[in-house]
Amino acid sequence: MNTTDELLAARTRLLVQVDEAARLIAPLWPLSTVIAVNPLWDLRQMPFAEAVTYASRVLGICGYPSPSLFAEEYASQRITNDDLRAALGDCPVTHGGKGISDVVVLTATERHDLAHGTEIAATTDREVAKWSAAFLAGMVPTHAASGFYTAWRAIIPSDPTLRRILGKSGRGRLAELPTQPEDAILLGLDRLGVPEEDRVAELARQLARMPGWAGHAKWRSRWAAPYQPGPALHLVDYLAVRLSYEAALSVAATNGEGAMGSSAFYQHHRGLDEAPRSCEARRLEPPRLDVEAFPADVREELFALSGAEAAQVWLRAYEGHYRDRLLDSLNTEVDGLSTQTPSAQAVFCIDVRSEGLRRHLEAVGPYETFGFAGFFALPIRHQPWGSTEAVDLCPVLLRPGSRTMEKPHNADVTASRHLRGRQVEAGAHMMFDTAKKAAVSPFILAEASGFLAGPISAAKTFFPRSYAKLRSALRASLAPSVATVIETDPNDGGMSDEEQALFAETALTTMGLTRDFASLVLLCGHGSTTENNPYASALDCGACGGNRGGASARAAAWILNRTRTRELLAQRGIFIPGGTVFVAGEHDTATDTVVIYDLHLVPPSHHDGIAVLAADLERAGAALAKERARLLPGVKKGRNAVAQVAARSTDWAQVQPEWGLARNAAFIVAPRSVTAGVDLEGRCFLHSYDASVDPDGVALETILTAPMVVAHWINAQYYFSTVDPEVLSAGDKTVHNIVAGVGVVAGAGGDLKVGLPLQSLFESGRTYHEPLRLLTVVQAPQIRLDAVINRNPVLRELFDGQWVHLAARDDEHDTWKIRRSDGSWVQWRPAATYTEEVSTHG
Amino acid sequence: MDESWALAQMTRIEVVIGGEDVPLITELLSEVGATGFTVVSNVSGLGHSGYHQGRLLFNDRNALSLITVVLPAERVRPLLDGLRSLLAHRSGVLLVSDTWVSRPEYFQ
Amino acid sequence: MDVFTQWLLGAAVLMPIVGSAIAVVGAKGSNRRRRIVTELGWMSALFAFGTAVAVALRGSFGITLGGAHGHPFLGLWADPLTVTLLVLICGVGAVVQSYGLRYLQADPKAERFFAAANVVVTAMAVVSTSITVAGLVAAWVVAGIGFVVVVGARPDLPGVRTSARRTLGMFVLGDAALVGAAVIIWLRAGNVDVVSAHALRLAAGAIGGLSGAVALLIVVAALSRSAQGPFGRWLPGTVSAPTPASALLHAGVVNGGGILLIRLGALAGDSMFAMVVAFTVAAGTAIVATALMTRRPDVKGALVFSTMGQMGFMIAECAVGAYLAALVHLVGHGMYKATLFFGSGSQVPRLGEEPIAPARVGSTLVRLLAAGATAVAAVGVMTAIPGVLEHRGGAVLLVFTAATAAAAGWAWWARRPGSVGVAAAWVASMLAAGALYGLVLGGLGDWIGPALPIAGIGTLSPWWLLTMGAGGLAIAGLLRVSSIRQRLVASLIAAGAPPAITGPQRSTPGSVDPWVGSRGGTVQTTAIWTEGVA
Repeated sequence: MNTTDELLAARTRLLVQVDEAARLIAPLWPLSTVIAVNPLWDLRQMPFAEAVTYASRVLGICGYPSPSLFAEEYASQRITNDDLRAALGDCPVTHGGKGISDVVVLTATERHDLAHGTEIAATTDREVAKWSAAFLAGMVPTHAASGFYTAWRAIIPSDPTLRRILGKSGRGRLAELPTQPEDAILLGLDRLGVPEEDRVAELARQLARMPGWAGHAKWRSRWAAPYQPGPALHLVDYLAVRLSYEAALSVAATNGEGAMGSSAFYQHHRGLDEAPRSCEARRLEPPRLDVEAFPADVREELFALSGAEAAQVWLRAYEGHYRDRLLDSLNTEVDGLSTQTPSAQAVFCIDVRSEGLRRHLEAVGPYETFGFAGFFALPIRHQPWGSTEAVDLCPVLLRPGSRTMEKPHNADVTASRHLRGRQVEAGAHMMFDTAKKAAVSPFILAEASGFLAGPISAAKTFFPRSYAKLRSALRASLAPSVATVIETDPNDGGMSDEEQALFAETALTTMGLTRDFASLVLLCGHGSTTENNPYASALDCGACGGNRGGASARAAAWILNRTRTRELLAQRGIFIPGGTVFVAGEHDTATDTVVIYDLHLVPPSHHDGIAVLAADLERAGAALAKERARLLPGVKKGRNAVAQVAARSTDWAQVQPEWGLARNAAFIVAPRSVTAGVDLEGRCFLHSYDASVDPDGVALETILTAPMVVAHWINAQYYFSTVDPEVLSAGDKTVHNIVAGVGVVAGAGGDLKVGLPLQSLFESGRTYHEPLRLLTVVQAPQIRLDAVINRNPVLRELFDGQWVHLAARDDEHDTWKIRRSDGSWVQWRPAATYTEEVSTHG
Repeated sequence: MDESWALAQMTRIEVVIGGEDVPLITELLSEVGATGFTVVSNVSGLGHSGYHQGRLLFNDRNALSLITVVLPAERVRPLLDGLRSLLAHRSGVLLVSDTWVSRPEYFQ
Repeated sequence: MDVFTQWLLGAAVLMPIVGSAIAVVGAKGSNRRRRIVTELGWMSALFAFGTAVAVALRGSFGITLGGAHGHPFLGLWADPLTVTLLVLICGVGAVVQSYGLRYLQADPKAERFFAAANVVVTAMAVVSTSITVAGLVAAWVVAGIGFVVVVGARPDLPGVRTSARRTLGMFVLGDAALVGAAVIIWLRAGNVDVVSAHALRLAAGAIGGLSGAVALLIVVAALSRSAQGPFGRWLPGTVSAPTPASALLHAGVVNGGGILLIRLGALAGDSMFAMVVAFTVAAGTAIVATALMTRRPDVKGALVFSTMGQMGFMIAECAVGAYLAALVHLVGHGMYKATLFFGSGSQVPRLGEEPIAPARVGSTLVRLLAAGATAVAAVGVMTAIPGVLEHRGGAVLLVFTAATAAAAGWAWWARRPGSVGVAAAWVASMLAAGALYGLVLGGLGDWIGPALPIAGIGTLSPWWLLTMGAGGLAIAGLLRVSSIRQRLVASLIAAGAPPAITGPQRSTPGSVDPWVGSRGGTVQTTAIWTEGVA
């Protein structure tokens, strides 16, 4: 190979190494579409314990709940001795793994800082964070289509901070920076003296120093759609800037010696790694626990284990207790489903918050409910009416295939008034923003608008509900609401009739609604209304990519109501009676109200039915709000609970408007008959599945490889944010500061925050979310289930690696079985039976 | 094939790899200057890591994809280096073959 | 005067400190206790408003404490000026606490915040209404210390400890200057009554040759509290504290400099040197800080630099003797900035909400005409309102208003729906905005005017204020010159950047036990939450 080829080959190898190094960083979605993700998702090829150990060494995280949490739970009998026995009796603990001891824990500059007391790494962090934020905010002048590194390279000679640090001699080096970011990385690694075999480890630790910015870069490089707007901060560019700083600063710090292209620098400091690694792992001795309180057999085994092994046992005991209760309650014969023919059927998202509404709705009237992922099998790119942007309404595991459009039902005067009103509102905002930043105007603008702002502030703080009503009334008068329709047009990037029928069939078959249709079927998406909440998108529907689910529901209803769709469905064996009407709705999970859309598309014959349904939904919602109000902090007892809950959604000072998906624990794939009438406490994702209409397991596979993965992500995000709030959670919401509209930092600057804020996980006084791994419960023939798992590596990784637990039974007469990590199944028995066994065996 | 067919010889590279790695592959391809490529998602197959059933309706990333790219022979070597290092720790398949194309300027 | 009104005044000022005491009592966090403290804050605001009404109806009055008749030791005075400030302070205190009641509900140690915030409110209320120099200076120092406690209430959060230390350092500097000035005044003129113009004239005479030193020391204290120039390094770090602390700061504490200069205007305004120093530092800060604000990528950082610039404008107005304008700015900006901080979490653009913008108006000439017409309309309405031009600096304010209206018109006319109705509504709203502002200026001016100090011999001409506009325009112009642009932008980004945040230990070297993790020696945020709020 000639030199250009050599160079290209070095670059391609580097790209692969960067990818490998970035595996321990989770992608960080922008605030406009917050997605809960398993922080160790790209380490899932390793078993859970191994991945956690690896991450603890490089990212510095805790992968298990703290000893004090377990102590508390033991004291309150949430973990019993039986649970501990059962956990000890289960599969042996897995610990460590190949290659872990080879991990380099520090970067070259970190070692130098330790040895000599310099601050190269911290300075690099600060400068990279500063430029990343400025770049994403569009403040760094860029040339067309250039990336972060090119823009940085152009502006860096003018940066007074760097000029000061580098001094006269160092400044000249800035002009020598390579034009290509890959070359900059190679040069930087060379200057730091990192040999090729240690490159991945070095780059991994480089990224791990600021998982927020690295996560954003990873999102942009690996997950973001190419048409995603905004400045693009790619992973390679980010590393190029980082390494350029590190190289320049280390050269300046060592006065040009020791680090220049020689591995001596690297080798000299490598010895520092050895000392910390000899720290012994601590034995489990939780505070506030009397060791003598444990029965002898448990004590013997448990306290002989090392810290990590004991943690695994405690965690399994914690999870086992919940699993036993859940499976027990599913076994109990509860006459949950009414025997009448349902007056309406309702399909809700699998979100745990729908569970409560479904339970109350079924109690209030003869309704049959189903659970299905909130995008209703339509991966669409939706264009809301009158908006410039289109929204991807599908899980992030998919790219949307087709487009839908929202159009006014009658293009009349009201429609244009509405558009004009919204333009006026947007124009006023822009005018205000521009005047705020212009040369002369900020001063008078501030004082003049202050006299309006003051009373508004007071009104919003003291009377949030009334203010919200007033504001929406004003908005409505400026831009009157218009009846619209969401449809798809094959000539305009939309779905053809056949595609529509295919999606409809998928949806109906997957959830098992293929016959006995009621006259009214409600497709209910969900969203959350909160005020002044940077994480508002985290409370919306994850299956719709972090957006509200109403549009998907409306599109699905429109498709299912079309005569042509029904004809095609009939050809495939699904007969929808002519009298059945599909109707779309949206459940606002903050206020527990359901709004039903597109009444103008519903024939008059069904209006009464809808009125009854709406009234029943209101009653069910009120009951659910009362139930939730007991758990929300700050709710005054005795006063109107429903009104208080609703007020939280309009209150700009409210940091905990709803608990979201906190306390989520299980994902149940079964017909509703299995779970009806059981109070699952809003902790379970419920996906309807009828094995009898799914002979080849396609529906089961669809459910397990998409909705279950989404549920796992949510569960893992909540789990890791709870067990390591310092690194993997977004910290205290009260100091959050939005940067460039894409992320938050805590306080003045620094790293972007990953994960969920503390207010979503903890309440004052205790840990609200129970950190345990998702338990998937499936009712399907075992052969089918095994076949599905065996032909999908992602499921093998999740189940074998103990990222997700699996319990299954063939049908409602069967007993539950638990799947072990080697693929075998064992009968489930409650932990109490272990005690009996011990006592009988002596 | 003979001269009268007016075809130019190029190298075709096909990679079967997990859907999650497609963005990385496209990065490698643009690095070596490939002007275009084809991706077929949700393919199935059997390999050393087990059977991969491709038809996942709601998940593009956890099924296999097949990427086909055509390059002039001189540009292939650097790409192979990168792909080899990737497949050293990822399951996947790399196929390299000769191919003849009708519009060579298309692939320069 | 009437006992009832005196009682109103006393209650308005002292109720927050009662709340503070209640917040401190008891060990565990309690929602009920916080609610009571918040309600006391409301009541204080209501009483302050009542006092304002009393002053409007019946004229000025006061409460005195100690000392010989006619020469009180301490006292509170309610006249149109002081009561406006009182309503602002107590109102801000009430809203901040009510907001904090929900915003800080998860924090079991929030009582510290409530207690310290109430101390600040009472202290600033005393600064605003104190009759004597002794009371004013003592309250000023207490307000500073109270605010440092507010900032430092959560030492576990990243950057808080550094910020509290820096704030304390700067405040000590400023307070030392003010105490120095007070000592000089005491030695030469005794415990001066700052409300009576006659007493102030006598005091100025008694101080004699040291009046320059006194004026300069007062100016230094004002500059330090309002984060101007070299004394401003403490302000950017305060965003490490929770949002209600920032709101309180920007609405009630940082405008202390203006309050000081207005109340002691007769003493400070006599020295040309002091006024020139004040003006130079303030105007310079206004220009630089406003430029820095445009290059801050984070919401709160931009707000902080914006406040620095606005406070510069306010102090510059004091330095040119336009006290009414400074007062209006003080009050208006405080409410404005507090609102922006409260709502700082809503700056996330959600997808699908941005409406299709109307076509851009092609002609620059049309936009210029529209901007000009807007400016003329707004200013025209303002001049029509009686009382606007009578006060010192009124004409300059009109120039600034014209510029603001022109900027708004220029921005609006670029992309607006092309309909007659909308155009008419635009004209009407500009007229209304101008009228509202004019009414505020004129109305407040008529009512408060007599209580404001008269411009001293050292004050500059109000037309100097235009230098700030000129400076802003100059920077905007420089940014368009491509050769300077790169350098200027880099300098702005670098100058505004925060220092490294020293947070909880996360990059612990060496292997980390996955069980124990990296929990280092620093206080863990979640650890303090385990104590609970009843």
